[in-house]
Amino acid sequence: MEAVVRRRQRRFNFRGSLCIPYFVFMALFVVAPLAIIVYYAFTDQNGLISLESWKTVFTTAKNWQVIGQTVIISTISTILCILIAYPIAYILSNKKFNKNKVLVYIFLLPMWINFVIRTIGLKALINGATTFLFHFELTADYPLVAIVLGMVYDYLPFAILPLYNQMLKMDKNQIEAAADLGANPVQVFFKNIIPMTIPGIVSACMMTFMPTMSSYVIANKMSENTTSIIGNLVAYWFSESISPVSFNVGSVISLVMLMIIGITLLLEKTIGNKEENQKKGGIW
Amino acid sequence: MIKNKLTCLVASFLALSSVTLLSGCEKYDAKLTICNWEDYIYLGGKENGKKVKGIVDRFKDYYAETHDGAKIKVNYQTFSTNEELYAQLGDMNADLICPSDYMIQKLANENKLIPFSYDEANDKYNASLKNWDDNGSPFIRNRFKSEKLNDGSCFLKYAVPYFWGTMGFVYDSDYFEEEELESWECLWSTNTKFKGQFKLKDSVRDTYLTGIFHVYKEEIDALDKTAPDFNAKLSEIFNRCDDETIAKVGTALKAAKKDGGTVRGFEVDDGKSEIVSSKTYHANLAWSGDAVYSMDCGDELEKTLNYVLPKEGSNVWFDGWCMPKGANQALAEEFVNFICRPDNAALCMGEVGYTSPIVGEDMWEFVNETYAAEEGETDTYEVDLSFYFGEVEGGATIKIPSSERGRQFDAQYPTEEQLNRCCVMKDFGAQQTKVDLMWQDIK
Repeated sequence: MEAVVRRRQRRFNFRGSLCIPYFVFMALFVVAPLAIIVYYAFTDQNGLISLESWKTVFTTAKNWQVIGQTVIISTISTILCILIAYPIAYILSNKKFNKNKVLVYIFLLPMWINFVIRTIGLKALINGATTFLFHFELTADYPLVAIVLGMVYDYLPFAILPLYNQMLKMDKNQIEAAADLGANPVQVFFKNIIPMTIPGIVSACMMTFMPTMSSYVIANKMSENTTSIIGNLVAYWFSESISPVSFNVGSVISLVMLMIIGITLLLEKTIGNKEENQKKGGIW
Repeated sequence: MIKNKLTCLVASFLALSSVTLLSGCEKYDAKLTICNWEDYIYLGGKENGKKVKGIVDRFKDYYAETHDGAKIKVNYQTFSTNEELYAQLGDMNADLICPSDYMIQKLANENKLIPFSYDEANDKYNASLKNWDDNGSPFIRNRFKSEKLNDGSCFLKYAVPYFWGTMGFVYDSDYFEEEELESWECLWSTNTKFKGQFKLKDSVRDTYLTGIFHVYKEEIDALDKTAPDFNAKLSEIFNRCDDETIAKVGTALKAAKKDGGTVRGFEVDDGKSEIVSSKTYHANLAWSGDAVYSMDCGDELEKTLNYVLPKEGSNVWFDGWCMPKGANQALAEEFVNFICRPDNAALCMGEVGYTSPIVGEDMWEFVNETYAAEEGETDTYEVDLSFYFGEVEGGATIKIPSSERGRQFDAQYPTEEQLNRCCVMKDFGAQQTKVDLMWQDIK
């Protein structure tokens, strides 16, 4: 018996070694860049430890405005995405309507086209429509509304998919039973269907909230470059500024963005834990 | 079984890719890496169904001719903003780059460039840049010469001019009259006709200057325009970037951008095509070459766009060939010399739309062919370009049809008087971060 164990220990752990590429990848492309960002955030242009960049970022009123603006845009976009995606996913998960999953593919089809092109197309479309109907251009006159529209349009598929996946796993018998035992349709929906799809809702939120924070191209296109979200600030400091402290300030803003995303992840975890019994899906 | 198949697949894929990789390794005797602006050179095309070689290919032939059939590999890359070039300079091992004036200044001051063998007293390079010495425009030489770097030397020591231009408004002549846009003040007009009618540059360097002309309007108007040091005085105001000026410019630009203001948005790349078909806004802050591009496109769609250089003054900018540290000097100079040959310069100018600092017979011919009025046309105006072209056979005056006023020719060749009101940008230096913060505050 002992001999067997010893032989096992000496044997090359093939399964374990499969993880090596993964760890190398993580170290190179996740840990190392993060370390560089942290380094820049806490140093000044001469490489000396300093909190000057933090001071610059947080004493600029505009940055606070942009951060607030971004969180609001992302939150509204996420809520709208869920509200629109939920009924769509419900219909799609009903085998009667969606026998061969063709409908799902139709909803995912726009994702085959580059999102910048789609956003420019959307901009032309809604500007044309609002000029025709109300004699103003949405992107020029109401940039914030336009940005939210762009975000919802681009990230809707990311909300539909996790919800759809979760709904496929719903226990249909339970819904039927609830109806049989006297629950009216509203009660069935709120007491049965929603609780069963909570993991799907949570991951749909994450899938839309996180990218809407940083995808500044959509914000640029939909606001004619007049309105910034956090992603714009980061992009500006890293690619447009030639200030000697550009990387330092840019890194601080990146870290701030990372923190906001971290907080939302924590929120997801707490909600997820509460619904532990339901947690079959998680992020698809 | 499946495993075997997989191994076979992987092996054959590897074999194939190594073959293609190896075949990519062509033998060559020299290698030149050029990093230029996007759409900033003639890269070949078709004429009457025949393929015409671009500058890079022509240079390869030229190199073979002059070096006993030696082969050169040209690695041609592009960048889209000076700032991008600055950020990537270390990684690309370029032999030649083409930054703008203020960036040349910054790079030279940071000791990142190799100087050309330039003799300032005689205003001459050595024999390897003969084409520039023979054909460089006298106006550009003087202008470049008067711009000093930190070490007291002039721009020409570090850069050979490639293209230059001004900055003004390109506008739809059906909507605006020239008089309405001839002052920068139009950006702060309260007239409802101007509401949301402008797009400015999404680049702080360029939009900053509109604010300067507004903030210091009174001071600029009070300057004596005929004084010999007018341009120097204007340049001083133009390049102000103390804290107070930055704050004032920020406030001014914010006022122009706010709801109900004249500014509709910012762009750097898509504006030149957007203005052609735009029905919602009718003027775009544009570099002269982009303006020429827009006007050309407009002509095809029978929409007349015009270009106006505001009367208070504007920016005159230069892009020049520079050699970053580590460049292959001899090769780089050879290429610069080649592209300075008037026939090549004319080819590039025809393609790009900006004005080449190269003059000479070929260039003069090109300009005449493109713009001069037909013989017998009476409704013309005369432009004296001797300040720019120097001495040309038959005198450097050109007759332009009056219908072309404010159009392509005027955009490419401003008058001497107009150019006296244009200033060269200087690097913001230590104030850069403050300007960046001001700019973010606006957006």
